[in-house]
Amino acid sequence: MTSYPSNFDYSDPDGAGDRMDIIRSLLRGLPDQNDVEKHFAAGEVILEQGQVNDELLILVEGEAKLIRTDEGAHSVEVDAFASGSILGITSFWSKQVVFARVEAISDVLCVAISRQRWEEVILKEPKLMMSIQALFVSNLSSRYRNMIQIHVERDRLSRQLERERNHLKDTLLKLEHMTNRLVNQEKLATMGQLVAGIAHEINNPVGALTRSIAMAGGALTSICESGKDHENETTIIMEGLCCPFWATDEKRRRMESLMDEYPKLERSQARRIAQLTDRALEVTTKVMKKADRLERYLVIYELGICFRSASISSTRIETIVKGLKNYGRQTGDAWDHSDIKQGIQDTLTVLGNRLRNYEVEVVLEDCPLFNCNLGEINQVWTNLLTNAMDATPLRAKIRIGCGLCDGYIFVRVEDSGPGISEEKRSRVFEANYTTKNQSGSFGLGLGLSISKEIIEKHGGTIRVVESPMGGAGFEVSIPLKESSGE
Amino acid sequence: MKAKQAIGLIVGIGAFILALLIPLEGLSLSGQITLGIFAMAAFFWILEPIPIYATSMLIILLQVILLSSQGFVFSPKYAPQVGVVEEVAEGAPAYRVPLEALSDSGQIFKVTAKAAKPLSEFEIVSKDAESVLIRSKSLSASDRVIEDGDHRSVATETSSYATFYSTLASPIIILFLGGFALAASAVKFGLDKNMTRVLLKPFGNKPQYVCLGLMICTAILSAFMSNTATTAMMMTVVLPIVGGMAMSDPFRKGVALAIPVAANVGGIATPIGTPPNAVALAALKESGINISFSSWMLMAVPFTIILLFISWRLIMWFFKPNIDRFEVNLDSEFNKSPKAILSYIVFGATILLWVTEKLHGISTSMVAFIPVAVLPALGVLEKKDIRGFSWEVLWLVGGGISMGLSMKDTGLAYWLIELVSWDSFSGLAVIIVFSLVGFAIANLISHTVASTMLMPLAITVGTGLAAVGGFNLPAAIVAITVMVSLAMILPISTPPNAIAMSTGVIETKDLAKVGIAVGVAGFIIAIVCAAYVWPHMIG
Amino acid sequence: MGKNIYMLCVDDEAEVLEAVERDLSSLENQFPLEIASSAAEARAVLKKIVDSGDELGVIFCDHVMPDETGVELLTAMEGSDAWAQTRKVLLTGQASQEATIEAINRGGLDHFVAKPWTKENLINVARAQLTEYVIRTDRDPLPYLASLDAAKLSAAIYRKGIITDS
Repeated sequence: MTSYPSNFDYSDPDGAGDRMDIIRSLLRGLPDQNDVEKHFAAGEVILEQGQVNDELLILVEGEAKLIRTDEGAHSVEVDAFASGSILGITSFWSKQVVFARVEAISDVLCVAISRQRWEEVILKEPKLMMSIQALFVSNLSSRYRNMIQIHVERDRLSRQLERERNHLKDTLLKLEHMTNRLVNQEKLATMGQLVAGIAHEINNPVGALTRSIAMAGGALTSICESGKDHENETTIIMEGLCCPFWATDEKRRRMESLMDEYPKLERSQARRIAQLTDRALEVTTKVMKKADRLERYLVIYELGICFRSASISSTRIETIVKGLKNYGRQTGDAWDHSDIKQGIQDTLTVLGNRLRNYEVEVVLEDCPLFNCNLGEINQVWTNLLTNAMDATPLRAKIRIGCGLCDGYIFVRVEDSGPGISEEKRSRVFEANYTTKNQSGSFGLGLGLSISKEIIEKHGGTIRVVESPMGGAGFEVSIPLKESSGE
Repeated sequence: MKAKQAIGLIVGIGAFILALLIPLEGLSLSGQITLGIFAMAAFFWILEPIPIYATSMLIILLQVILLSSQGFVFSPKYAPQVGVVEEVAEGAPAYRVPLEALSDSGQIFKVTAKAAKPLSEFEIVSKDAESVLIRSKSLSASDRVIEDGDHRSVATETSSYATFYSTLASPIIILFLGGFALAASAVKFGLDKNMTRVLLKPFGNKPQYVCLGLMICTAILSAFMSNTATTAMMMTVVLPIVGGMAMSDPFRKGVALAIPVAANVGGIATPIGTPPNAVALAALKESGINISFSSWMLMAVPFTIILLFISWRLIMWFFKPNIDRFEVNLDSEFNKSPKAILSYIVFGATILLWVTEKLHGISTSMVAFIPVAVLPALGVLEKKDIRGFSWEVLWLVGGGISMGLSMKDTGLAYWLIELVSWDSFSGLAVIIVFSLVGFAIANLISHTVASTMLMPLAITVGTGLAAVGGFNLPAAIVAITVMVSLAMILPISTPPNAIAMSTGVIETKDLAKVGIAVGVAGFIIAIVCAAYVWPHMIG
Repeated sequence: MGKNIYMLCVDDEAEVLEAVERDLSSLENQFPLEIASSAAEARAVLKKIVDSGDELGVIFCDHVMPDETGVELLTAMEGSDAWAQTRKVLLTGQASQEATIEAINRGGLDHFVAKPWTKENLINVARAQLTEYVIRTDRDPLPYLASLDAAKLSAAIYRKGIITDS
């Protein structure tokens, strides 16, 4: 008669020692012990996944591992077995195919108990059942514990993964911003060079034009001075050269009074005479009845007007070209002692064509030169003004002003548009935040974030304020001393 | 309002009042009223304070109010009392009438259907304080006499107001309406332009011959369409080409002049060519003379051809072309839609019926109603096309016809003619005088108005001469009408002249030069024809 | 004298107005030219024209002007009986596509002249538009035959029977 330990402690998770005792006594109780010993070399498969199993394998010596191969032929190591473990329990009891392969880690000695023998043992030694039950429960509970631990571990791992993924996403986004910004800056830099180039090209012909106009005007005057009727003609040409742009209603009034005074005067002729200045008119009235003299005076006067218009126009081109040159010159990384006020003026010139459609109020105080990257600073004004124009209907009011206070330069850009709501205010400086659904020049939603960066680089701040004009306002303040090159 | 118009208004109304106030020997009250209307109309037509067609309508209004038997002056309400004749048994036939029935001039008026007519013979038997006993063979017991022998309306024949209105639908007006319908359908389907294109082809591109071709096309079209519309159409064809020519080339002027001249001359060719023809036909009809479409064309077409050729030579002589090519490109195609073909058929059939009146005997004006009825029935002419007719031309002519009616009926025409002693004039002299007067005034005023004012007088003189014999009234009237149509010396003479002048291509002196030359040529031919050729044609 | 047909040019730039005055002076004796530097002034001129019993044949209008755009002015005119017939020309260098579409759909725009224009082009546009105006208003075309498009006016006489035999 063989005695079996029955006081098995189920709570012992690693009750390997006890288990081995039970196994040994179990093995002892088995008839023809020698028949059922099986040896496996390291790496050899003990039970193959998918095979039908009719034995219980008791791991006596060595270690084995449980490997599950999924449909994609990917193998995962699920569990490891030490000596004392029983292999093939589930397939043996459920009579289903083996769920996971068991592979020897080291050389393994197993004792195999076939179904037939098992039944014989149970019949022969009913008392053994108790011990075996304890053994099985111990084995299964150990596996169960393992499983829970695995779940816990998996959860931890997936949380960690999630964190890492988010971090990666942020990094990617930042990278994208950086790229956009760089592209944008590159674009601006290219545009700046282009603008400066064109401005330079235009400069020379405009200069020639201005000089020619001045010379031709002078020549015309001297021709008039040398003529027979030099006294009158000189007056006429002088007046023509500085003829004002008449207000249309004023001109209409003059025409009407002329036509009242000279009822036979043709309308087109009256129009020509109406543009004469008072002095020129005085001279011309004397020759009203001499058709050819009158015509000559009018032609001379009109020539004067032509020169006046040409000269005004070329001056205007010069101003625009100068503005373009200044604006475009400093888009590089040039830090220099610059005049903010001049920068704003140049920006206004460059945006002049668009700004013409708005009522723009400019209040600029003189500011001391200070070290900044004027090209970048100008870009801020451009962004703020462009935003204001985009946000407001045609002909709305826009105000830009700058001033000095307590060592800070303040610049405010305001509009009378719909303004920015409270909840949006906090977000406007975020990159990629845009309210423009159409592609504008800064439709990427980068305008304000770049502006903020530029200002912060100069040690200043930019913030949204409520404008007394009803719309949005942006206030930039830059300390005069803080700014430094990087 | 311009001074001219203001004067017209004042003088016209003044003349009307004056004619009514001043007693005129030998003119009945109705004659005097007609004289007033005529005088006012004449001033209105000449000085145009209101449009000439409005003057025509004013004439009819005044006639209806002042001259009709239902009107203000002659209505039964204001008519004298009419008394029944009382037959007296003793010494038959003797009748008792009221004392007032015996007028100051010793006449007694018997009431007839239309007017009160003086008794041709009667004998006064006795008079008392209230009545007169007379003996007369032309009275019977059922007769009635005017109880007031001195009443204004005695000795006046009045017409119903409907008579004046009916002039607006007189056969001559209907003839013109037919012409309008034909012209409208031709314009609608571009028949006129296509005919121009086809007809111009044989004339090649030598400027002289192209000009002749243009003149022939213009003349043919204006014979059936309005002269003005034809001129405007031809101007759209030539102006783009003329615009591209050198300003110094006289041919510019030549072409621009050739078209209105040809249009005016072409208008003579058929009765429907131009409104003065209608006025002449209407005046002749009033005198019981009917001139068929074919008879008119028999007289007018050869005349037109000869004069057109002469005009062409004259214009080419005055304005010799410098260029050697003049190409007219008309890129149109015959409209072959069913409606267009129907309109061509109606056009052809109507003209065929007109020129063959002698064979079938259906009168010109009856045929004229065929296009008026058939073209809208076929859907060829629609509402808007009918609205587009020159209704005011019909008004103008209608008023003119109505004026002529009263002038004849009230004896005004006769009275006016009597002011001049025509006895010393030969038939030829009468034609010459009227032609020259017509030519002269038609240069200054509307052709239609000129013939309207002249025709009743010419007819009256002519009727007298014709009664004596050796004078052919229709030939004379046609000659006068032709001369009225040829009046084209001034820009204001005709609308075609006005159009040509307004383009700025020609000057008044060019127009005058050609107008006088063509006028003189036309005058000589017309007088010769009226005296020696036409009388044999219409018998 | 019959009613005058005016031309009106509205632009806020004095140089543009001066140029238009110079370019259109050859038409001025038959078609008096008025100029206005804003839509408000243009309205005053319109009022003056209508008060004197005259008509406006053609308006040349800039689009971008202070206070009121050209298209707004044209739209208002298109909606009023007095000016619906007036030929409307946008004379502009910078009307957006939307503004142009608006001008065509609601302002009854008849023509578009882009700045800068040539004198010949401007005169041709003015003549063509005035011709159209004379035809559409059924005026007596004869006084305009020499100065405007004579062939077109002749075609109108012929088609519409504006003048008839008399």
